Amino acid sequence: MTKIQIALLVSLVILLFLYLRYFKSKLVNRLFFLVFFGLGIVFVINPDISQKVATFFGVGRGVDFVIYFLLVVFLFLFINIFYRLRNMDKTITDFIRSKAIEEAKKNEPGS
Amino acid sequence: MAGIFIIIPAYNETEVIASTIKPLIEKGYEVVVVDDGSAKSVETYLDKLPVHFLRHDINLGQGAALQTGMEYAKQFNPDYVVHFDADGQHNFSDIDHFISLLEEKKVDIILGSRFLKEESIQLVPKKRRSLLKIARVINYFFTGLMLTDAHNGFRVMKGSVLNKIRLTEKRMAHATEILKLIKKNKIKFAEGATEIRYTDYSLQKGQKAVDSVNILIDLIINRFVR
Repeated sequence: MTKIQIALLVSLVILLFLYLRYFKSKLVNRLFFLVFFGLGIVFVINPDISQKVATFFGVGRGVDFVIYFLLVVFLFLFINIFYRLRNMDKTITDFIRSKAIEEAKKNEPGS
Repeated sequence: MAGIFIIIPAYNETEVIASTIKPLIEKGYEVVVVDDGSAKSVETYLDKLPVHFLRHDINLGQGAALQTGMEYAKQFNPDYVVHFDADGQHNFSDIDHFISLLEEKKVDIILGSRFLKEESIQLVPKKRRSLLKIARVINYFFTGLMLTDAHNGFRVMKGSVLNKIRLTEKRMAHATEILKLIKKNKIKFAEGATEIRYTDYSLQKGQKAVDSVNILIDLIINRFVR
């Protein structure tokens, strides 16, 4: 095993562990990520597989394919997070606003 | 006295706000102060003046504070609604003047402009004048409206306009958003001459030139992401 393979494998395993521990969300979500990490581990242990997939897609090297794939995944994730943040932002604003309006006070003149 | 509601967003304002509000109270206006999550609640500096006081628990931005004030005022079915700064830069005597302008010009909103009268133009610091000239063009690009003053917080509108504008920009880009909404909802508007009195206090508190970049970025992002 080359050093890069060891390094990637270790980080993948750590990430997987952290993810499973801290993201107690839906089962589908977890399965998706298990598959993702699983694929990641597979590609790292056996770069030939990624090579085969790469040639199928007409890409030069297995690594290149993984990079392209990741680019798409990251872009998607980024957009996803961006929209989620915006929604959260809106929710917070609406909440702070309705509280402000509900708790509005009016001082009477001469008080 | 017709229901005239003055919306004043306030953030970390101190003694100055009381002197800004006093003449408004004396004229019989309803004053709505929206404290935008100031570290020390602005309420303590109000000197128990009879205002409507609202407070955001966290800082959301001037646009958000204005929207909160307007939503609150809507409950009272006001005849007129005014946007007014807390730091004493605006001139309260322009309020009555703008209200008569509304009737005179048969429009629904009067937007304050520093650039309609030579005296008020002279009051604007030179650096800011050039920045505002650029802002005017960018404004036209984003809103389709060519105004003489792209970024003036003093506005007087008929109460009915409250149903037509809803600010979603929380920070300073709201100034441009208002113009976009005016164009989109075909709200009749005109500019009115007003002057901004710059004091050391208000210049120090106010926006820096760098903030214009932030506003531009906000506008660009929202152009693509609405």
